[in-house]
Amino acid sequence: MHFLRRVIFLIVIMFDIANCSIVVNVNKGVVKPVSIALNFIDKKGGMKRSFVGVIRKDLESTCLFRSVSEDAFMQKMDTILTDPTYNLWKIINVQYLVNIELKPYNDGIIDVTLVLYDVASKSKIRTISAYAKENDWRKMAHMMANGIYERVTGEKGYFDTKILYVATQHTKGKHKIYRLAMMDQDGHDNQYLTNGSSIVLTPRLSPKGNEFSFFSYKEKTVNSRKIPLSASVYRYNFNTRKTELMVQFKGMTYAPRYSPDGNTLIFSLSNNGASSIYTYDLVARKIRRLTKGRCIDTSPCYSPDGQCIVFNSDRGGTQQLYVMDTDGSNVRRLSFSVGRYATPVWSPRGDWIAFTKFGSSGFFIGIIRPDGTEERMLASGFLVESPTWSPNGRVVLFSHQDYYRKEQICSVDITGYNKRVVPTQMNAIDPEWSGNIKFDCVYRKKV
Amino acid sequence: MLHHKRDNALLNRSLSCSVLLHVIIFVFCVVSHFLPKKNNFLLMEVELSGGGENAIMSPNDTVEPPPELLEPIVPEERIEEPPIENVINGEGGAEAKSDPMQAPESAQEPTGDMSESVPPFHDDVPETKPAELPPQEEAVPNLDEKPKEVPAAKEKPKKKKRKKNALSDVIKRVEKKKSSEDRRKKIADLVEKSANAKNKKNDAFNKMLEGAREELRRSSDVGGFGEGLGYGSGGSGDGNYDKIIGTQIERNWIVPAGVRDAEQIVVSIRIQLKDNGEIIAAGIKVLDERRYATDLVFRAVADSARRAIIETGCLKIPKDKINLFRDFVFNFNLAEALKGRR
Repeated sequence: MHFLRRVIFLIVIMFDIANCSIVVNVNKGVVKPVSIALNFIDKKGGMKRSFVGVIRKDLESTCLFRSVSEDAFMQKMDTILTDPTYNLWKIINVQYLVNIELKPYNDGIIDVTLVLYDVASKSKIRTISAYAKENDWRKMAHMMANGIYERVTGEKGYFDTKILYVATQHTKGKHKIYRLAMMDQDGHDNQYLTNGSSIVLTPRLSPKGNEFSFFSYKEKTVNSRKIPLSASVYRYNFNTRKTELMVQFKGMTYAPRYSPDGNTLIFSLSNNGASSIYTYDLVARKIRRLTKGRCIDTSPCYSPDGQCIVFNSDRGGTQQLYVMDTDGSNVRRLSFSVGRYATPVWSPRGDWIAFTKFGSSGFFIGIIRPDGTEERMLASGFLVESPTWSPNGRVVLFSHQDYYRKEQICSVDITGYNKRVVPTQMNAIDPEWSGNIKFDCVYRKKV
Repeated sequence: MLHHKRDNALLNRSLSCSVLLHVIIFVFCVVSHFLPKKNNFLLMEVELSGGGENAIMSPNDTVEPPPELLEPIVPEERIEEPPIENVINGEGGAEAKSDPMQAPESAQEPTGDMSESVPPFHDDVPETKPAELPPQEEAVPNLDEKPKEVPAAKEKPKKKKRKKNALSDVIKRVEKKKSSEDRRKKIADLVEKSANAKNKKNDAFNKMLEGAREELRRSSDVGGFGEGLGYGSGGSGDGNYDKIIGTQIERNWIVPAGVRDAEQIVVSIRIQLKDNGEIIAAGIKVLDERRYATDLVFRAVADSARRAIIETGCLKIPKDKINLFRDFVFNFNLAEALKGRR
């Protein structure tokens, strides 16, 4: 029905177009950031620089926005109640004007109102207003930045998200410590979740947002040799702040991931030199084997609709990407080019699959369509791996290690541009991007 | 201005040098052309007999040589040679005074039986000196003996010297000029390099000026705007319209890169123009209103397209074609615009 409506509408449009004798095609444009002016009205005092700074940093980190300096403003606006003089903003090439007013509401509570104007069309296009505790002003700023981003780009913002990662640290005895940590997507508010007594890898957040799973094992030193003990999948609950064993099998279990509904855990289990993919129903507590054979099948990942699973396998002779149905049937190969593929991750939008590729020419982070077409590389480096997607499917985070073994988390846009380093307190690997987090401390007003 | 004067001075210098060189070479050619060539066998004209069908002579062919070639290449005075004695010749020695160019009697073709006319060779027969040929100009002089002075020959060495002197003088002069020309050229190159280093700063400004001039020219060249491009009877979808009008919008369209489903997004916007080509802001209309209201990505792309039209403001269209563009549609194709950048 929906399709039929679209067809009829297209026919109507075509008649409309046909009435006009001329149609001019515009097939080229300019790819550059949109210029935006952030005008902050601080009625509380002392918060202007920090609040606007967070919004400016969020928007400019996307490389889709360019903030105009306040020194260039030709109109001073002290209230959000009056519309701006658009010509004065057009002169300085501002395309979007943002008026933000912050005023105290009650003790310890602030009231923030944001109005977004389109200077070219001389119209107000968005208004956001919310209350929050004064201590949570950063979350409020991220929420405001999200609102601007969504209205201008049409896509969901990701500034109110968290990044889960593994912080590494070398000790004096050259022993490496692995600790699970979590921070805001801009690197602020870093918290350590484990104490580093055991090795932790591949943290994966549940879509429900209340827990995450990770692979961990303890080591025992025997005759100066380190031997892993009980390598298994664990889970950490944010509410109880406790770690518990999720599933333990004979052999090594690793690379766990949640299904889109959060009720199933998928992982790979290695035994006697071969590795197969299994699923574990967290509710029914039942395990099911999906792949068989003497090959190595690992790094499984669900599609966002939960219908398919992508994984990497060497069943064809070299390590390549494969896609199968959720019951393990209909296995088809995705990648065919030179090199080896690993750690595939399906985009939340469902239109791309990110992966790690390595070969004689080095390490790469790339993306490929689910049908195996349009493969291209986004980043390269001495050692890059473990890609993870932003919630809107536009940005990819990955681990980057340089020649001097400095480990960092980097981000790159889906277009391959805008490579950035995410600031962390220590060396960081294995990032995992959370979904949009609902801040209970921020309450939206009806406008 | 200063840079132009310097450039002109350099040009003048190089021009004068090249003119001088050309004059010298011309003089040399003229002088060498009018020098006498008679005694120079290298320059002697050798006329081939016949030509065409008779280009190659057979041994039996006889062709009379031209009269000038009948003159022997000998000095003007002929030296009387003593008669050749003891010439084995049946006819006597009187004929020994015949033309010295003739081969000696002994070399003549024998007539009759050889055994009778030619006496046997004896060892005691004195050897006779062969007839000495008269001295020729090309003959290598005997260094031990002084060359015999010939009154007429006295002038020729002088002529040789003159030739040599003239040639060498000219060559020396040409070489001098060349070296001085090379020096001037080097100096000119150095000066030019230093000037170029300063000119580089002005290049950017000049480019801007050129761009501004081009803009002015385009804006003022209304009459020639569409000439030769075949507007014809109008119609739709001509590549010319895309090139001429579409390009005015392209520079202002900020394309949103990396959007979802970019290949499915084509925004059609209807616009209306005034008589002077100015876009009526109120007449800008996105045709697919339903999608604009429901699809956020489509709305973002449509907003960017509408903004591009508003920022363009006025379209440059010839007055005689304005009626065609009173009311028309722009198609903004996102997939085409993002080719290679998705």
